[in-house]
Amino acid sequence: MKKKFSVLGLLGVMLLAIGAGARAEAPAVLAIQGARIVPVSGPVLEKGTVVVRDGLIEAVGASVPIPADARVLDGSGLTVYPGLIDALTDLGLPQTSAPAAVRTGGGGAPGLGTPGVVVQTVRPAQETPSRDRASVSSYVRAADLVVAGGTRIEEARRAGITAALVAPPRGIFSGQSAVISLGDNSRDLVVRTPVAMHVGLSAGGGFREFPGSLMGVMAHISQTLLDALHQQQAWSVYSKNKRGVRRPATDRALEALLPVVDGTLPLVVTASQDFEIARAVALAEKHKVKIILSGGQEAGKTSSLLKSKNIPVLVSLNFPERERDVAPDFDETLAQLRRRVEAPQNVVALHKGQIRFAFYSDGLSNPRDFVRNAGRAVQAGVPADAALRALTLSAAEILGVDAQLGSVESGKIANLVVTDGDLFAERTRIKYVVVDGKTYDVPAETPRPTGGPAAAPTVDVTGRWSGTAETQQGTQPFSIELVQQGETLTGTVSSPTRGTTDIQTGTISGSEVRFKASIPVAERTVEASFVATISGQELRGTITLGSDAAVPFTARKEPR
Amino acid sequence: MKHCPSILILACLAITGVHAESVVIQNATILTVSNGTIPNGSIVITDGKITAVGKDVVVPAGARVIDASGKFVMPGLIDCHSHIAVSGSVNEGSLSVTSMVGVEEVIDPSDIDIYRDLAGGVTTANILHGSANAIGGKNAVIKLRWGKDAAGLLFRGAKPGIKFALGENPKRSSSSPATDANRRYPVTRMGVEDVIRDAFTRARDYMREWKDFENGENGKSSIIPPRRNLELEPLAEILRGERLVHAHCYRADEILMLIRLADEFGFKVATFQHVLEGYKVAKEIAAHGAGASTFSDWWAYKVEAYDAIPYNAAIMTRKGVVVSINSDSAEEARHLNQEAAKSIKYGGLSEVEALKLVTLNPAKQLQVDNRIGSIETGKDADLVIYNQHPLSVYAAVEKVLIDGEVYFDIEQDRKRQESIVAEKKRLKELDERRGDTRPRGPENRRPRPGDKGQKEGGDQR
Repeated sequence: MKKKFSVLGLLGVMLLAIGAGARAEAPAVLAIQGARIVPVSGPVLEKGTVVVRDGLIEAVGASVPIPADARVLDGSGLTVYPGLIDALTDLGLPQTSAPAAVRTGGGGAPGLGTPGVVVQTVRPAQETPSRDRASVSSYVRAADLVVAGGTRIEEARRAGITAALVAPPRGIFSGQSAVISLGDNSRDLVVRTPVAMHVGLSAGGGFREFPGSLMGVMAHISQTLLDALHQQQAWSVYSKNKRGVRRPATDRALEALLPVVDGTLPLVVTASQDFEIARAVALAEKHKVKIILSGGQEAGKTSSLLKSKNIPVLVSLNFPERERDVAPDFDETLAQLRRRVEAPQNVVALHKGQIRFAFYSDGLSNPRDFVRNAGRAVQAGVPADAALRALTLSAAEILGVDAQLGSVESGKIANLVVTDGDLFAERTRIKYVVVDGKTYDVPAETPRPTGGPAAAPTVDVTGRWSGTAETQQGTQPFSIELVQQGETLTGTVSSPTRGTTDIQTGTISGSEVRFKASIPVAERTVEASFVATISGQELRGTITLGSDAAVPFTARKEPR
Repeated sequence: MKHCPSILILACLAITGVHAESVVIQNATILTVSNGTIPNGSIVITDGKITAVGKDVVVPAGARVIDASGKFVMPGLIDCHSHIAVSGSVNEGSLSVTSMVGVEEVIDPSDIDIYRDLAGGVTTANILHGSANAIGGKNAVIKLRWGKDAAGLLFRGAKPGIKFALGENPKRSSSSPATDANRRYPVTRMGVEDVIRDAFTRARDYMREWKDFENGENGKSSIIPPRRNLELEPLAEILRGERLVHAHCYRADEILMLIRLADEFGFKVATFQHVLEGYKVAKEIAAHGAGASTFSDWWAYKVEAYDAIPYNAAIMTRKGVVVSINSDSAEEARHLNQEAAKSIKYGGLSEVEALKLVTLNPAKQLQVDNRIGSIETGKDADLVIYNQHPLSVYAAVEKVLIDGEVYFDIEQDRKRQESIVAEKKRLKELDERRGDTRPRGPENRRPRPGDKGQKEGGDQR
């Protein structure tokens, strides 16, 4: 007890030092009294108190004294959970193409085909490549790019998400992720960096740039990892024989990959179907690197493989939904139906297969679907405590932050979710979210009409729009001709490289524009899905080409 | 029926895909391809291999019996040019030399074309990279073991290969010159030859670089090992005779060009693919020792494919070339037996010669004729059972065995289709039930502009 008093005393001094300004904004001490506490790391306390001091959980227990300086929150009828963790997202990253912070670093933006990125289109380099190679931005750290604030973070927080693994979104080696706590101060968002190196397997190069196919991507990954090993070897030899040996080149992309080839930094590889998972595992085995899978829609089918290799899975909670724009009598294939209807069953299989797994939002348009879809897995047969663990402590363990996050335990970061009932129950409301000790009230949702007609379009988009898309291969120009009739859009999309194609299933609702077009890519056509918001003379949104990641685009209306 | 111990065993036959220790196919007309036709014969299969073929064979006790009375059995068909079961593009079309890529790394075992071609009697396929570049990607020889994973499809022990391409496609003279900045070298046939010569020259240098390093010949600077180059390693394998070249080509002049270039670098072209003008240079192809894998009567789809004749396969055969008929198409692969049969009408090949075009000859071209291609003791039990003579247009495949396992059975297929319908019905009902129980709160609708959180451009992942 003596020791405890002295710690408290010290904290008191520190608080004085911090001064009144910080306290005025957020009282540094919070006590949630008399609440049901689900610590996840241990048994549920039916009635207990959580004390939060200066961003950390100070005490948890059935009979914890309330500090005199605490703001007390009456917890009767409330349940306290650890803050939820979104195990893979781009929350907090700038939504524009290339972050300015990286541009100034020299050598070009990450894998975006800006002038610094030289891609050999005639012959691959014969000597050891030293400058940046296509789609390898392994040196980019999400930790350097994340910023606090913004409505997306706010929305996520309201859905109970208090921490996230944030990864740079573009490129084959897209960069290094960081776990961030979704607080308000850009300077101390990061909990851990780097957490993993992220690999994207989508190839968008077509016939123009290497790699333009999945097999090209696989080869590119292999060659890059071999080059990283070579880099390590070359410098190791050189450092012992500086005289008489020609010095090796430096290469920031390869140097950033050294912890990967060492087996200390895991690769996060997206793989959904069972054969894609087997492919990713084979790739990791071949290069003796650690991996974490993301996606994992069919991971349950491969649980014996994953169990034997002890590979964790970040499971997408963006469960497939029936295509909205198809005819009512459209007959889905058996595979499509299974993938959609039995999506939660996959989580059951992972649980039964004793696979370590966490959940991630994977572009869910509504963050509230994060918990809701985890709830679907519970309905399908995943024990509620296992699903909750995947949302909290399992995620923290897989991401290497379980000392700081994932449970309601003293000493951990004070990230909490306070609800008025069971997290997975339909009518439960999240009342408060605590991030780094700061309490955020979650306002009740304003009732809105359900199933009503779409908002009437408020703008006229008819005309010619010239735009650019920020793809992995750089900025691609294109133009759109739109004809608006009520809520329906028709017209064409043209680009110098892909020709002109008709717009299908175009709609406008409020100021939201959606349409699709079949674009020739390599030797087949791929459906490109455009989603954008119009403001004034500008369209801003994303293009999703087939199963590739969405790329941002903007377009401006041309004068008539 | 002396070999058929009981009716119970016959009932077991309905179970497909089950690996039995021993299987015997009885009362069949056996087209061995290598040793004539055996009427009313039997084939004994043990552990996936053919252990006896003939009129009077000893049937192991407990062998599973397949009664093939009135049926025809031939070796599994081999498609020497296929692009099925590939995830993503079959072309890495960005560069003119893409030997670093390989089909084996992107096999998609869920591609329904595997099953469809299997149902057409194909048991082995040479999965090739596309023809967009002078030196394309590495191949994968697979067996169509539908239901197995990617590793389970691979033909273990088959020699690795690589795709080359000559003519129009790699020089891409038909592509739009509008994007000059992205124009790829070469744009002429001369350039195609140069690209290949340059690549092999670099591969030689690469081999020498490693040799020097291993021998320590460069003084102290060679203590840093050379960088491993995945582009040049497969070319070094070709030069060492460890990798087969499958060269897409049409015109006689480009065929001769590649023969000369291969002679210059000391390697052999394993197969010329398409090779529609092969009949003009059949002697030279035979002298080089290359095989020719062509179409029966598919041509005129571009200028370089105009000077073609349906006698191509027969003429090259008569000149001593090992010839196969391939599909290059998931659809055509479903009736390769008929494609082979056309060479009897055009060119007068014998029935056995025609059958060889889709069995033993492609096996030789892929250098797996010690394993497959004919019905002989010791070979893999890759067999097709037809209801009629396979060279008849009325022939339909009833069963296909790979390594002695039944992977296609027309009766089972009917049942399978019924079960698919039932399964879909079950899932649709589940789906509808879920639709009723799903929360319909306001937050469940798709977010719209004006909603909070939609101002930053939506989701980017």
